Amino acid sequence: MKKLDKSAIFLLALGVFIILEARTMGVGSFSRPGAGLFPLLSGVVLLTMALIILVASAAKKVNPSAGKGEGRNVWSVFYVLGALLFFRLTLPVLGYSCTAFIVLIFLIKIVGGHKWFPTVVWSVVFTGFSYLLFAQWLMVQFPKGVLPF
Amino acid sequence: MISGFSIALAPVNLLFCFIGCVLGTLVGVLPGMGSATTIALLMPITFRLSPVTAIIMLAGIFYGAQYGGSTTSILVNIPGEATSVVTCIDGYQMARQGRAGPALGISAFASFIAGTLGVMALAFFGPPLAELAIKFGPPEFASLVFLSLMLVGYLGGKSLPKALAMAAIGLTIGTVGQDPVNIQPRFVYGILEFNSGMNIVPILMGLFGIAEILSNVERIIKPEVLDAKIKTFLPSLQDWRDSIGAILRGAGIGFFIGLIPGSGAIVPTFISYGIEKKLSKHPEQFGRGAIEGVAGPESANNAAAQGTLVPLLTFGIPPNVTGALLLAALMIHGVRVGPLLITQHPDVFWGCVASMYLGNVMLLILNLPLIPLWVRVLKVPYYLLFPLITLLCLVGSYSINNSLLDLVVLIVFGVAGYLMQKYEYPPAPLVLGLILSPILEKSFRQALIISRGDFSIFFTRPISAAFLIVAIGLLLSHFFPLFIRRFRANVAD
Repeated sequence: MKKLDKSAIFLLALGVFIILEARTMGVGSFSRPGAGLFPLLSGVVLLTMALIILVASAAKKVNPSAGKGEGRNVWSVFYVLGALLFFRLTLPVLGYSCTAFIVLIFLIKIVGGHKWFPTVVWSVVFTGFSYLLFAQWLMVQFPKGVLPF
Repeated sequence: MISGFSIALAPVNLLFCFIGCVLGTLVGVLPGMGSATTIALLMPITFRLSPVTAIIMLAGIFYGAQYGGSTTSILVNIPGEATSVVTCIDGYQMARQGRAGPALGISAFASFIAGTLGVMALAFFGPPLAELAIKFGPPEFASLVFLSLMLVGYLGGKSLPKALAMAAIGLTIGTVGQDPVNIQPRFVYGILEFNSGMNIVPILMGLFGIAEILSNVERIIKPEVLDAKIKTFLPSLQDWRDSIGAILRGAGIGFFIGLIPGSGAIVPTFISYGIEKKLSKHPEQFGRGAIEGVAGPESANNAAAQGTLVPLLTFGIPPNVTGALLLAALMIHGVRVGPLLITQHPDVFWGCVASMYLGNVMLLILNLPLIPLWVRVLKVPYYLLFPLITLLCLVGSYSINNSLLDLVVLIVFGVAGYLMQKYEYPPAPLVLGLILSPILEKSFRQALIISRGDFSIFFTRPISAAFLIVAIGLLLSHFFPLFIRRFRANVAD
C-alpha cells in the first residue's frame, strides 16, 4: 500500500505561498537584490524539498497497521490546547491570578487525573509562586482583571 | 583570563552560576525536559540581569544538564538528556549488579575532568579562531552559515530533505518584519508588532516547551526507579585504572567533534563508546556493565558541551539548538555575537569561560552528595511538572513584550512543534535557520552587491570555496546514492 505524505503536501503549499508572497515584495536582480530575493530562494528550497519528500513517500510502501500507537491519550493533547486558548482569551478579562488558577486546576485535575485536595493546594502554590516571580520580582504588567492581583 | 575570574567570582555571578548548575542538573535528571527547553523557559527571567550574569546562568544550565542526564540513565534506564543515551547501556547494567554508586561516581568525575579540559581548550582555541574570523568577509560568512545549516540537517536528523525544509521555513520566518535595506515590510499583514520581526522566545517555548508537553501528555510514561542501595560513590582503584584512558580520549573526541556544527554532544558519545569497545581487552563486557562504557561517553558529552561554544563565541554561529538559544539570549541583551565579541565584550567571553571552571567544580561537589535528592526528584509525578511548565511557557512568552499576540505565537508554534514530532521533522534546523537568517541574508546580499551579481565570488575565495565544497559534497553524498538506487530499481523493474 502506497500513501502520500500529508505533511509534504502542506509544505508544498507553504512553499508556493512563500514564493508568491516574495514576488510581491520585489525580487530585484542578483546585482541589486530586492527585499523578496532571500524569501524567494528560501521558498524555492522549501518547495524542492517538499517535492522530494512527496515523491519519496509515494514510492515507499507503508504498513497499514503502522503508526497506530498503543497507550496514546489524544484527548489530553486537546485538553492542554484548550487550556492554552482559555488562558489567552480570559487573561484580559479575569486577570492573571484567576486565569492561572483555573488553568492549573484544569490541568492537574482533568489532564493529570488527581484528587481535588492536592489539586487545589498545588494550584494555589504554583499561582502564588509565578505571581511573585513575574509580577513582583520581574515587574511584568498583567492586564487588570476582576481581581486586583 | 584573570579578569574573567574576577568577573566570575563576583558574588552575583557565583550565585547565578550555582543556580544555573543546579537547574541544569535538575532538568538533566528529569526525563522529557531538556536543557534547550529550560533555557527557553528561563530566558525572560534573565532580562533583569546583566548580559554576563545571564550567559553564565544559561551556560550553567547547558553543561549542568550533561551531568544530570547520567543519573537517570544509570538508575532508570531512561536517558535524562539525549546525550546520555549511551550511558544507559552499561550504566544501568552496573546499577543492576549493585554498582550504581561507582557508576554515578565515575560519571561525575569523568564529567568534571572532561568539562575542565574542555573549558581550557575553549580558552586556548577561542581567541585565535576569533582573530581568523575577523578576516572573514560577506562571502565567507554566507558560505559558513550555509555549511552550518547543511551539517545540522545532515548530522542531526533522519531525513536530510525534511531537515532542509525546516531550515528553509526558519530562514523565511527570520525575514518577517521590515527589510533592513529598503525598510519594506515582509510577511507583516498589518500586524504592527511584526514590523520589528517575530519575537523569538515564544517561538522557542512553543517548539520545545509546549510541543514537549503535548507529546508527553499523549504518552503515558511511568519511569521505574531502581531501588538500589548506594553505599559509596567513589570508584575503586581498579575502576580508575579502567576508566582514565576512556575519560581522556572521550574529552578529546567530545571537544573536537563538538566544534563541528550539527554534531552536538550526542554524536561524540556514540563514537567514544565505539572506540572504547574496540580498544578494550574485554569487549564482551560492553553492554554488561563495563565502567569504560560509562566513563568515555560521559566524558565526551561534557567536553562536547564546551566545544560547541567555540563556534558560537568566536564566529557567532551556533552549532546546535542550545547554542542558538544562548545566541538569542545574548542578542536580546544587546550583545553582538561574532568575531568581535572577545575584543568588544571581553567580560562576556572571559567571564563565561572562567565561570565554567567554577561551575565544573560546583557540579562535582553538587553531584555526589546530592544524588539521593535527584533520585527523589525522579519520583515527582509528571502531572505536577507539566502544569507548572505550561504556566511558565505562557507567562514567559507574555512577559517579554506584555503582548497577547505572543501567546498566540506560542500556541501556534506549540502545535507546529507537536506535529513536527509526529511527522518526524527535526526542530533544530528551523531554530538555527530562524536565528541565522539575518546573518545569512545580510552576508549573501552584500556578497552579491560586491560582486555585481556574480556568484563566482563564493567559489573564487578559498575559505568560502572550501565551505561550499564541503556543503555540496554533503548534499551529493546524501542524494546521489538515492538516485542510483532508484535508477537501478527502475531498470530492474
